[in-house]
Amino acid sequence: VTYSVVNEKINVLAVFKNGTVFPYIFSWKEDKKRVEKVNLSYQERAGGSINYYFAVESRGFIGKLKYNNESMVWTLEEVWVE
Amino acid sequence: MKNRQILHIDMNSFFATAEQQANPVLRGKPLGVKGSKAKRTILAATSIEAKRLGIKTGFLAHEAKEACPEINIVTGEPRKYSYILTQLVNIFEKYSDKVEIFSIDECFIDVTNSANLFADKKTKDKPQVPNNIKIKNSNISELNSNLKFKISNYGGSINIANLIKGDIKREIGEWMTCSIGIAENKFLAKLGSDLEKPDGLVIITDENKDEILLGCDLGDFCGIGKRINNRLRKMNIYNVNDLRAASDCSLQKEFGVYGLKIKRWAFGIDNSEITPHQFQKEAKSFSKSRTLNKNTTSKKELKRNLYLLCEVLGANMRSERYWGDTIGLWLRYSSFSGFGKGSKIKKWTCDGYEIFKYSATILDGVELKQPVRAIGVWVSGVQPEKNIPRVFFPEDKLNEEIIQTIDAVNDKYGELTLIRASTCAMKLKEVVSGMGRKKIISREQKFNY
Repeated sequence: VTYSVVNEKINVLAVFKNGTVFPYIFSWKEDKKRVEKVNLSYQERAGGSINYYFAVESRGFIGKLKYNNESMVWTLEEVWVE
Repeated sequence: MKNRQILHIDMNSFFATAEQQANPVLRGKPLGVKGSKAKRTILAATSIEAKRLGIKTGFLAHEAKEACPEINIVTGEPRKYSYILTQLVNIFEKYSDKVEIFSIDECFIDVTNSANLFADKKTKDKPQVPNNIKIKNSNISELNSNLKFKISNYGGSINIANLIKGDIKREIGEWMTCSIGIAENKFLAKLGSDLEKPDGLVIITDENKDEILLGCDLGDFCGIGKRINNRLRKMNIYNVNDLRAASDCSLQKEFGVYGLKIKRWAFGIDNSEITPHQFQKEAKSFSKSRTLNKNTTSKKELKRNLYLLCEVLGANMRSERYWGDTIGLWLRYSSFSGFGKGSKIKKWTCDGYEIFKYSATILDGVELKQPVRAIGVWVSGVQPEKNIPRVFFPEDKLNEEIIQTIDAVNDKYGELTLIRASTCAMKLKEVVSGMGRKKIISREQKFNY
């Protein structure tokens, strides 16, 4: 299994519900990916803001997304390939 | 007095399971989680599959790869594990207000007062024990009816244990498993959770306590490590029976009060209380260490690493509002022998640069006979900020104000946004410091202080 660091800003359609946020659809490399499953989510404080991390799965694609609540920017951090 | 009911919850191969939870491709495969991106780092955790192949925590990453080429090795993410621990504590607090955090992957819960709330009414009238519960590798159905009845007293605790297992899978992830021990005290509950892994549930009662204890090695007891075990052997104490028969006098002579404590463990007696995490003891010391990328005898190189460790250590202390008055340094040589020295300073500090100055003085006094492979710094004699006398000298006051300003900026914009001018010329390179909580930035090239 290899972990490729991507660190690219991406567009995400997300759901905000009961004080939580979850990615629903995101686009990367001109491909729209629907998040089928969030395998793990966690967060950390980054200065005055919070980074939310989501390990997601989408039709064989596995990777990690980050959402910063201050900049409201979504980033595709890593892609994991077998 | 009401019999206590204590649960000990041990997350199985916690870091590795968390990584497998995040990335399904890693599931069911041998996996090692290393502490940093450095080549010579050790495995901080291994998956259940890797353990079955003999790859255990503490292996050097490259050694594990040589021994088991198919093993996947990933760099750990401390923030992930810390956050999961917070989620776990939230789950446990649904069942009791007495939750003690024993380590990042282990907690005790005292359910003495809440177990009844979770007991089935049917179970109360007519004891029924689930058949999937195992006691030291025996199925419950093989046990005598008396023991079955006794276990039914733990009905509420067993239900809580099963609910916790379900909550963990639902709220954190389906791959996360834990082993739970249930008993009347912390020592037996911990012993129980160690007996059945992974995903175990073991109940130790008065009836099966002796059978379990006598079947254990002394090294299985939490609190008897290699060194104590060796000292016990020198006293001709090789097993639990020997420990039970040992005289209080000889144990006390060798180990002090601790000797009496370990003798009580041999009988399954432990009166220690659960300390809810809100009231757990304050820190006694802070430390930071790292294994170097390559062995070195260069003091300049060692000081460069030491400076970075000190800055991170100081930042950690300040974020937790602690000051200390004793600073120490340790080195591990290539032969794995070590050096360590600490000294009390005449002032209180939480300033990374101050910590560095004192620890560098210790380093200056060391004659390096062998190459160094790892370096660490610690601050002990720590006190919460509120107990520290305020500084009066203008230069100290100014320094404190500078540090407060740096922290305020770094808190808002991220770690090491503001750095000392003396380090600006250094090339930045990101590394992860062991399994510590924070990333540090190592600087290469020039080093002035």
